[in-house]
Amino acid sequence: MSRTILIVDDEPKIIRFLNTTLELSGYTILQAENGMQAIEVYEANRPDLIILDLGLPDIDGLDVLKHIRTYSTVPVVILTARDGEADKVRGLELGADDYLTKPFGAAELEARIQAVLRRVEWSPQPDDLSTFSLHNLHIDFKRRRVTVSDEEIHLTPTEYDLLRVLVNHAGEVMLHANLLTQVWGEEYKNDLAILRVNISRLRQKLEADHRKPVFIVTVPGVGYSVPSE
Amino acid sequence: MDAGKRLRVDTDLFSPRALLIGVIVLEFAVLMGAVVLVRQRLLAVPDGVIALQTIALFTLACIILLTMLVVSFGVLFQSLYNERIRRVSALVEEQIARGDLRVDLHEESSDALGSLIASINRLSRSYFESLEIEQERAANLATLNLVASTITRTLDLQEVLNISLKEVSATMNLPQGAIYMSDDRSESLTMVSYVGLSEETLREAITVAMGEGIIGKTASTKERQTTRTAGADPAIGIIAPFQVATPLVTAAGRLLGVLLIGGSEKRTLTIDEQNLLVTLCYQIALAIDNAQLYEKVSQYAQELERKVEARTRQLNRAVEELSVALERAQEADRVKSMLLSTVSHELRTPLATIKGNASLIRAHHERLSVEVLKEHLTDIEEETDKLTELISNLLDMSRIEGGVLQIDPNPFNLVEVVNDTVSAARIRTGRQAIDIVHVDDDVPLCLGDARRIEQVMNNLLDNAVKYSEDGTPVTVCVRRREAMTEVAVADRGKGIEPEKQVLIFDRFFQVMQSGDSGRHGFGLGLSICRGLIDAHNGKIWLESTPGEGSTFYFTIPSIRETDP
Repeated sequence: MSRTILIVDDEPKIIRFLNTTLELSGYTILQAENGMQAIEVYEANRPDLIILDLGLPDIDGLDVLKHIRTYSTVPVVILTARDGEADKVRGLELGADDYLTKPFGAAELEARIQAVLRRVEWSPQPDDLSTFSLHNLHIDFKRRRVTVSDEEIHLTPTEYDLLRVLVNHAGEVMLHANLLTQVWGEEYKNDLAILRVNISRLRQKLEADHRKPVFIVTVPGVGYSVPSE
Repeated sequence: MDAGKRLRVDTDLFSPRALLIGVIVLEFAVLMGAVVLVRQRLLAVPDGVIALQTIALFTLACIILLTMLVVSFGVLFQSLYNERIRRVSALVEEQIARGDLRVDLHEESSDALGSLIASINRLSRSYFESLEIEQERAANLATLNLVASTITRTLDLQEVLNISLKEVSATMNLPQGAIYMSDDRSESLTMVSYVGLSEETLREAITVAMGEGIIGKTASTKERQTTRTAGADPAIGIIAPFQVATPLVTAAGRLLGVLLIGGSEKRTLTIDEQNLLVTLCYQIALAIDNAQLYEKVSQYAQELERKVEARTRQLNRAVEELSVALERAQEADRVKSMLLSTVSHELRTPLATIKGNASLIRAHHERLSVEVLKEHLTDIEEETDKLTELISNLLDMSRIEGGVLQIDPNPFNLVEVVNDTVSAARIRTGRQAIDIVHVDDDVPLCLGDARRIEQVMNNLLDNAVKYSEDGTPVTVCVRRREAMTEVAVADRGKGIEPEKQVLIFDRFFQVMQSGDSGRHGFGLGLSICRGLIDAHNGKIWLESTPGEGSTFYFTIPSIRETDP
């Protein structure tokens, strides 16, 4: 069964090219030309991924993301002409899984989409842990279920994948580049912003006080580590 | 001394003393009777032999009677004396009891009591004379105190001068007066206050030179001058038949001016009055000095206040200017970043289509149908045109800004340009209702760059279509306007608010208005139009009513028939 992707952009030519490109790659395509339409289409069809432009005619793309994140962890790739670092961090902080700046090539887009979807479709590896517990944090890898004090925590695929890689190397220091390569892919190995934003989001969801983390500890200038016990 | 108060010592005898007088008369009668009896006895004896015993008795009786007579006279005299003293005492006590200490007893006798009464009278007169002197001094002091307190009540110099003169004139009972103040260089004296002077006197006596006349002399010598003349002579400082000019000198000896007062020829000044006048003038000088000092301090304070205010204003201005500069800088920064963002968006969006389509076609061209391929290639072409236009606009704007826009002025037919651009706009925009509704007869050729005027027309027509509903007409008129030709492009769109009409030709107006990075383009079009029309020495403007539509006008120079 093919994956469904919702393309949200107000430029018909961009939609046309994305449409052709992604259909050739086997995806089913839904379209929305503005923010309100995007929310409606998402809620009606629950696609597997959203490609979201930020400069929409009615409401800002970031507001669309903020709204969807209140009830869904669907992977979102932001596709925008805004190339400022602040815009990118803001998008990632709000829960985007990736951020792609215009102009971009068809191959790059496909690779990004595949990487994001891979994180969603990830299945346990033979050497992966089946469960992990640290203090009040409990992870059931078979059921992709994360709880803190028995309360279920909803993580986006990217956040879950990042936590999985860290926990699989509990007791070790995971270098920035290692984490980036393993979670996002080789082409992201220098993208510290995307790592920092996702670590920050994970801490906000898992830690009692995200400024004094106990599950995900920073090793300054090197990387991050999850204590084994 | 009041005659009614003179007391007379009454020495009349009263009945208690009548008895004593009777006794004296009786004693005298007995004595005389004894003498007569002895004489008769002596005459009765024949041989003149009188017994020694009889003579001795007679002598003794005479002695006793004489002694008794003397004693009686003594008692009477004493009684009368006592009575006089008692009467004097009673009268004095009665007067003291009435509170009248003046004693003027009438006594003409030259005895000790008369002398005592005269002494008492002298003492009383002396006492009252001293008392009157003291009272006069006290009155003077009270006057001085009153004047001093009156003139020191204010620190207003003119008020001090006016009050001083008025008080001195009233106190000294001299109805004419004036105060002259010395100028800064002590060369002349000017009347600054006057009382009881006629206009004529004022005109002549308003200014005097130092050393001249009674005023000038008083000032130069710093000594009081008194004159007594037959009449007034204001030219030499004589304002009254009798007058006194007193220098007004500070404690430090600095001459401030002269106080002149005068009155009738009968008037003189006692020593006390003279002293009072000197003291008053000293007080007045002090008051004037204080008032002048206060005036100076006030002037300094005002000057200081003015300086502080001026500085404060300067500071405030500087702060305002800085704030404005800061706001402008912040605004410029905001516009710059918005502009960069807009440029980025405007460039990246078509580039994204071009790159995306190109990479799509490169990777998958064999899997795409010819129609789809054509569609994507058209997108690339259109986006390339869009980019080219954008870059041209930016370059034009840059040339206009830099003052290096080149136009190639040649005679051209404006009506043809209008016709062509309207036809092209119908095709380009798909709007059929673009009509040339009026063209004046004999529109002359115009001088300009036809290509640039086409650019202006295209921009105005595109805007008219863009900002009005489909189906509403866009109309064009061409009219002769003296040495110019005018073109008007009107739409029935939503119009433009008055406050925006003045800004609409500013560059990047659209960017600054929308606050949105490039959703509505740069807003360079009208700015470029203005630059192009300015370069033709023409004018561009708009008339718009919100809700009814807008009309954009421009004029360019016509070629006059006399032109070669």
